[in-house]
Amino acid sequence: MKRFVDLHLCPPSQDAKTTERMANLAAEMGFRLVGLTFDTQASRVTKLTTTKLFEDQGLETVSRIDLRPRDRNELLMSLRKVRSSFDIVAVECHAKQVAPIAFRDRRVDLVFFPPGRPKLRVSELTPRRTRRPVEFNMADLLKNDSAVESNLHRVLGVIRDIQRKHLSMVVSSGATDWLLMRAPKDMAAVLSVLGLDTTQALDAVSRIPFSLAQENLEKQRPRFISDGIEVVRPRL
Amino acid sequence: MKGQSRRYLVLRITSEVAPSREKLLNEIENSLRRLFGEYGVVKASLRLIAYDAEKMIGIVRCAHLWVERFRAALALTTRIGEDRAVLFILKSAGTVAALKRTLSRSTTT
Repeated sequence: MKRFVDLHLCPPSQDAKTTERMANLAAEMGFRLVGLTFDTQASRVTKLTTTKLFEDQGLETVSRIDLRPRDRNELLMSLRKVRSSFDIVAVECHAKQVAPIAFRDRRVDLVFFPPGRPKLRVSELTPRRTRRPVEFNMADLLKNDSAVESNLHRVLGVIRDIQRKHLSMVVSSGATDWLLMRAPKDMAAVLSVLGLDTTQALDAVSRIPFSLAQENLEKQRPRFISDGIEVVRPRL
Repeated sequence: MKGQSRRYLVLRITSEVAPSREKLLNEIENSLRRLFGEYGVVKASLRLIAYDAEKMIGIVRCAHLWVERFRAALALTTRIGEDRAVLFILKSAGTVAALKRTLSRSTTT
């Protein structure tokens, strides 16, 4: 059975009712793990309360931060600050010079492109060998009713670039309220209708984001040193 | 000649206001029309078999080759009439009986 993941939920920290509704809907839609996006100012109590609402519905959670750096230096500085405090670090590439660094830096987990910048082409910005997945947010398609056509056109371009560059893709809702949430198989269906292979589309909501979250949780264990290396204590 | 193969889908609607049967049917057809045109509406041969406005759950019949496209069309739907709504498929099966069996099993567990 597939373990479905939505790595990009942005529950409003001040609105417990909306957060609770999002948690209920995520469970009903069949997600197993969700990524909860917080900003750097979010207090520990807010994080714990939000996480608890989702965990009460039987969902696993990971914390996430979205970085929106204006240039290379800002990206590197933010990464130094936040990497250890969040499970998933995603970078929104507003500027051309940010994308190649974001794709190369090992501290970055996901890269995504804002919907309002159609000139940023994935194929031009990604280095030749990268394993960093590109994230596509369904909310980018849904937020602006009048621009669905142009947004679909843009997603078609992204999918074409991803296939050409052999990159992996993650699809998330990017929902800021419950009305922007979508079921995992429905999100995969959108990608598949737009030209992605059905297996790849399903992987984009299950295998790829799940293994990404698991790898990052593994890194936070006290025994972890590096990939494949961990502290082994003799049994007392 | 053997007839067209069909799938039965449990459609869940989440909205502040429960839509009427007509509004719902209209919207799901429009969602298909927006993405695939009239050809899509005809080929998908949609039919709203049952709808419980109180629970906001319906059963939709769809041509089995069009299930994926129907899901995509639903995912891109943001409104039913004037009200914002989320539509998604809870379960799918080859017969209504199988669908009801799976639904009753999941409600009892």
